[in-house]
Amino acid sequence: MNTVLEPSTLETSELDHLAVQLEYSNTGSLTFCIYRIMNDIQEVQNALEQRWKTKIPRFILNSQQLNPLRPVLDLPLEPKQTVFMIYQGNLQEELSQAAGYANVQREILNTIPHNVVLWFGEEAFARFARQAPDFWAWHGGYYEFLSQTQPFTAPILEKLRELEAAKSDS
Amino acid sequence: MPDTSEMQIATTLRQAIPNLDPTRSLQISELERFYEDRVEVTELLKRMEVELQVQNNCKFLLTGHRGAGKSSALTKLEQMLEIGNGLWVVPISILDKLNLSDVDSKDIIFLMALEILEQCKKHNLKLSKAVQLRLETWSNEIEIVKTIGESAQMSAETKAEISTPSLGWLTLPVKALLSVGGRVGKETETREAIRKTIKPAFSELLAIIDDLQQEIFRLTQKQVVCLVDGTDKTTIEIAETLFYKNGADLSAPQVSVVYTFPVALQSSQEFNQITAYFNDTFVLPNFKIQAQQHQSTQAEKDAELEHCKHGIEGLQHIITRRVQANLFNPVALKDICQASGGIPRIALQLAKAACVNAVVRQDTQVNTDDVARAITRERQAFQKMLTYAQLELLQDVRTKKTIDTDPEKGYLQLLHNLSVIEYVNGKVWYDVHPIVHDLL
Repeated sequence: MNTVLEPSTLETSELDHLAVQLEYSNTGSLTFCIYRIMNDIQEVQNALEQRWKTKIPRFILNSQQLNPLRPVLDLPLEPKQTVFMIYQGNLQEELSQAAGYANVQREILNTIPHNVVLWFGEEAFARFARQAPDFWAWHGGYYEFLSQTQPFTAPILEKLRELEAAKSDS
Repeated sequence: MPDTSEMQIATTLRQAIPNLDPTRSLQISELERFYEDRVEVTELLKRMEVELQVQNNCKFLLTGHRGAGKSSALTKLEQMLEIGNGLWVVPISILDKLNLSDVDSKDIIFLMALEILEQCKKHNLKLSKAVQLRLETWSNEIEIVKTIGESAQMSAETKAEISTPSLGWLTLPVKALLSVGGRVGKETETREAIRKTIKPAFSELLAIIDDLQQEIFRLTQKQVVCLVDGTDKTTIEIAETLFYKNGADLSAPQVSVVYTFPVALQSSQEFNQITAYFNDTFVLPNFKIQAQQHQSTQAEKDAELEHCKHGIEGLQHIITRRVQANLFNPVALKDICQASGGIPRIALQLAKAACVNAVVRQDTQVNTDDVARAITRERQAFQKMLTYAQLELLQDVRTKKTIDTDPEKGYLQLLHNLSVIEYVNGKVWYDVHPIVHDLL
């Protein structure tokens, strides 16, 4: 069988749903997105920026900043924006701290106009939702962007194709 | 700016998406058009109203599942009490003023005093000289005024307000104290300062509340009722400290108070002790959409099925009060309500997701496939969230329709994350959330 490895491709249907939800939500909507590799997020960000013709601010949640809502409070109230918050802390105490902040500060969402999109790896999401059930209960959307393969740079992909072709010829 | 405009009924799917936002609580002005009255809740609120009118100084707990509509019910109660006369209603949201990750019972009582005072200011009540003097003395004694007065974080607006010469009956220290209200416990510095000064002066704080309520009664012939929202939204551990260890503090003020209370704690073993501090507990029921599979007569079964039919209709009305009914295929709407487990917020969440799905399909009506996709999404999230051990416990709940209330056993966590739902059909029973059923 001739298997060709492709770079990760964006789940376009999932993207359409995410885009529509964000476009028509009024204020402080909370969306959870699950990713496998950073490229998954980048692809979604590129597609949405192209669609909306505007930049999407992105913040990393790690040991330096674990409060998922803090960076959003520093944004001006206008214009309304969609903000990506990407969790990259560890799965133990940092995740517990982030969950703690989120659980007790969720009312902030009622005071801001921005759409908050929280990105988690699968395991981090599972732990976060378990530890912050009140915050999770406020979600307005849940989406999965899980690439099936690791991304390959063009030269590596080309090489792989050559190898596949050589194998099937022989 | 955040959208605080009044909701209008949605006539298109695109308008429906924001209207169905699960984080949006109804404002008092929206109750008439968007609040779905149901017999069980109306009766419960009526009972609370009557008890608050006939008894002075009573303390109630209002509980129910997350998303069952506690905040909306409290807003409705506020409206009923205000219309009914005889009561001076003080709505208090600890979410706006306190830090939920580190909230203390005395913070809540301090906030209560400030909010009662704020209501006096709002209604332009002229307090007697004696009460004014006591307030002033108390305000002066509280170091917090100084702390905040010197704080660089004090807004220019607050500074201007405090330095205004025409303070009316509000003396400078009292006014300064009120200005603290906005951040009673949001800043660590403020919170610590309040606790340091309030702890030894707690009895004086209670006496101030008592003075205020007597003064309000003298001037208006109304008894004070505080409706405290948000006390159910802390972690279980903090709620346990508030209601179990410090329940005596919460029940100490000489005014009537209704506190919201987390449902998971109501199912815990500590609850018996907690009830000793409070006059009564009111449980906001979920919409009854599922009949209990127990042995009963045909007549009982028929009555229960009829009740479930009403439950589904009630949930449908919550949605169709916000969006035109023709935006949903009738079967799709029923599917949403069935899958919600009877919890209004979950019904809204599913309805919103289904609207998004329909818009992506470029349709003008939500169909059953849109709902199925929304349900699948939620199920996927539950699948990721639940551990194998929890799935085993869920199997047990599905079979036995009950839970073990020992916190060590893990069932309370399932109740807290809504994978288990409590139902009250004459007696209390539990079942697995309909969305989670297919994972077992």
